[in-house]
Amino acid sequence: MPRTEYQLQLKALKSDVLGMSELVLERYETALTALEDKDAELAHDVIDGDDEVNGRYLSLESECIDLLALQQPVAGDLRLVASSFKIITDLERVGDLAVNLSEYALAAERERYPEIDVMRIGREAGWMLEEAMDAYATDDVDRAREIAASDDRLDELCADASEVIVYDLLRTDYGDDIETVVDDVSRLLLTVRDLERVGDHAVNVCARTVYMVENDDELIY
Amino acid sequence: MSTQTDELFGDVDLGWEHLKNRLFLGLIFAASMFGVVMLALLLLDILTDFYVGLTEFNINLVDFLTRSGSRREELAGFQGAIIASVMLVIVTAFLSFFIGVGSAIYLEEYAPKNRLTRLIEANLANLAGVPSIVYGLLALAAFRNGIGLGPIVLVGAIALALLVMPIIIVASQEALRAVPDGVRNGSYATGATKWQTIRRVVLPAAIPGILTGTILALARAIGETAPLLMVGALFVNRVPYGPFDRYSAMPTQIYAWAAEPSQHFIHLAAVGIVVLLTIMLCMNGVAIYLRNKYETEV
Amino acid sequence: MSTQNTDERLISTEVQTGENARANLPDEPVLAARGLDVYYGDDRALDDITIEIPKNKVTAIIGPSGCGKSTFLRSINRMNDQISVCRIDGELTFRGKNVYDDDVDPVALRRKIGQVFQKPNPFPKSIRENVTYGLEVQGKSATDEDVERALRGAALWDEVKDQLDSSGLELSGGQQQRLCIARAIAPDPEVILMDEPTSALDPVAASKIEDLIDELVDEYTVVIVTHNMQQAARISDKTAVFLTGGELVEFDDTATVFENPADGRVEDYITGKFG
Repeated sequence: MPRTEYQLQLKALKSDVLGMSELVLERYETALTALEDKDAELAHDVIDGDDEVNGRYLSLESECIDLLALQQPVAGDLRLVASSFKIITDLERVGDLAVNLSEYALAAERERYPEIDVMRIGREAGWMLEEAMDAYATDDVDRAREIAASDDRLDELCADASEVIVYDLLRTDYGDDIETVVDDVSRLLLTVRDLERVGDHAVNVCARTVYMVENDDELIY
Repeated sequence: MSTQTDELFGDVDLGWEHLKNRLFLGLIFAASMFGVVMLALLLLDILTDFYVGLTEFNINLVDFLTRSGSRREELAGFQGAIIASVMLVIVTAFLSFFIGVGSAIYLEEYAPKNRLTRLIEANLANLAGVPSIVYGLLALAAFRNGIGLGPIVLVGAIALALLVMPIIIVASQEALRAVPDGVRNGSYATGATKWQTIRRVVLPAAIPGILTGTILALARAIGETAPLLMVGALFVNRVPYGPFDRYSAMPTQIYAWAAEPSQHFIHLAAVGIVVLLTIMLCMNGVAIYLRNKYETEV
Repeated sequence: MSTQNTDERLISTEVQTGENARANLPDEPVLAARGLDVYYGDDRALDDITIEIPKNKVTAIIGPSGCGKSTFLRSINRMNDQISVCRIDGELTFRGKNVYDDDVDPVALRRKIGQVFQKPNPFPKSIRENVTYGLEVQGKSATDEDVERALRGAALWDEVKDQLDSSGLELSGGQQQRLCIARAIAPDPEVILMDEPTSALDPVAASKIEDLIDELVDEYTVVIVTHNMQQAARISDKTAVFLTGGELVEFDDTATVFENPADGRVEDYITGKFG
């Protein structure tokens, strides 16, 4: 095949994006664990490691710019570069959300609302992102559409959880405890919202993958 | 329909333009045909005499080609003349080819493109057009009278060599010029010297053109009469032994026979002309064949 | 938007690319010019050129028509010597030695610095004779291995291995150009100069030659003049920009020149605002 160097560079781009997603997913898993076990050490690992994620993002952005400036990709190749450019932004955001989760883990003092399975929501969102990156890796548009559709389920879980929390707050009288309760509750609401955002970023990855392979922008917004 | 055409293309009558086209074509065709017609008439005249010679005067072609010249018309043949002409051409080629091609290489590849070079080239072009008798006079003065050589083949060859050399030089220059510069640059860039470039690349590529030009020049030389007359190639009726022997070449033999009062001799001359023309035609044919064969390269 | 320097890359890059590998090697100069001026009679074609061309990398020279790119190239292997009105001032060195010194023989120089021209110019000889020419003019005899090595190096062996005795002129344009490349590399030079080598070829043939240049640079230093900026962006490691008047305006890593040139005139030229 001609233009071997260029073909290698495209492969390298995809491989490097997947590398960044592995890094981000690992941070995310660590953050969830920190939240569940209230492990301060793990939480600090994630927070301190954010620089590495950001650095990786800048390198990948540079790789995309180089490809555009120096190799003049067109058609499918151009969509690959453009999509990868957007996807790394979503990945970097997920890295930031993992940092948020770690900060909540550090601040939380006691377990509240065990009937709301935050971990389940977290694992669902993480699974969506992992599957979305797989679909990107293998150009699997059907899988990408499936994952995007499952976001409804995640949104429902999050909406239900938020409802339960607010109802409880309104119905119970906590007396002098109220300040810490409000703190915990708002943190919990933020956690649920951030986990929903992770799912939204996974949907973005799916949308960009569909655009990349089929030039179809239906899933974008 | 015509109004639509007028709309599309304008209301123009091209009939007169096309008529001018056809008129002009007719005129230049006639001009070309003029030369052909003249040549045809000439050939017709010769061939008629040739035919008459063979039939009425019973000139036997085989005898004609195998016997030497003689005072007696029934015994006269062309062999001596043919061999003398061949010998002449060979010596002429030898004298003129190397000097001619060498000059061409110098002028085309080495000489700086200044006024002196242009002067030399202009002179050469002029020399190619000088009447052949002048070369005969030159050879007569310098080699017959000056050095004291007799009316031998060598002197005739010198006269002819002087005649054809400018033609060979010009033709060789053209052939060398036709080798594209890109090929020379490619050779220099690969680390060859100028002489290596000429010897290994330029000259081999130009040889077909040089040979063609040489053969054409020699084909002309073989038919030249005036210079040979000047240096004395007339009254010999046998095959020359070598370049230092006396001789009578084809054109001079024809001239001698045509000057005789006897009709037989005149028809012998006609037969001789046909033989000479045939040989010239063959030489030209070889030259053209060579040119066509190698023209598609480079 | 900023671009990272390559040594700060945190990319995993399991896939190794040639250009990335070359980018990480330091620049070792093999050709250098210092204050080089070139005149054709009274016209100055090159104005005070100072540049260091690195070994085993592809250096592209771009610029508008008439800016002196080809003149610079021809000055390197002294092909300019053939133009009688050409005059050189300043210094041009090959491995530290000024190529215009009196004791330098241009023929010897050209055995170390090969050239490929814009219009393919194979000799009207067989393919084999074309390739062996460079060795034969040096008085060396060329073996079949030499011929195969050169033709493989030019990515032409598979296509012509059964017709080595047929004329080089029977090949297609792209093949003829690769034959010229084989001819240039057969005597094992150190530098290959290319003067717009693909501008007379169709895009497929041009692309093959671009891929070939990427392979050649492992063994040789390649300097390529091109009026096709995209080509320079695709294949070169370093780019020199000449502008009208024979001025070297910028010389830097290709990525820098095409993403963030230092000189405003270069930015205008490559974005097509003039030239």
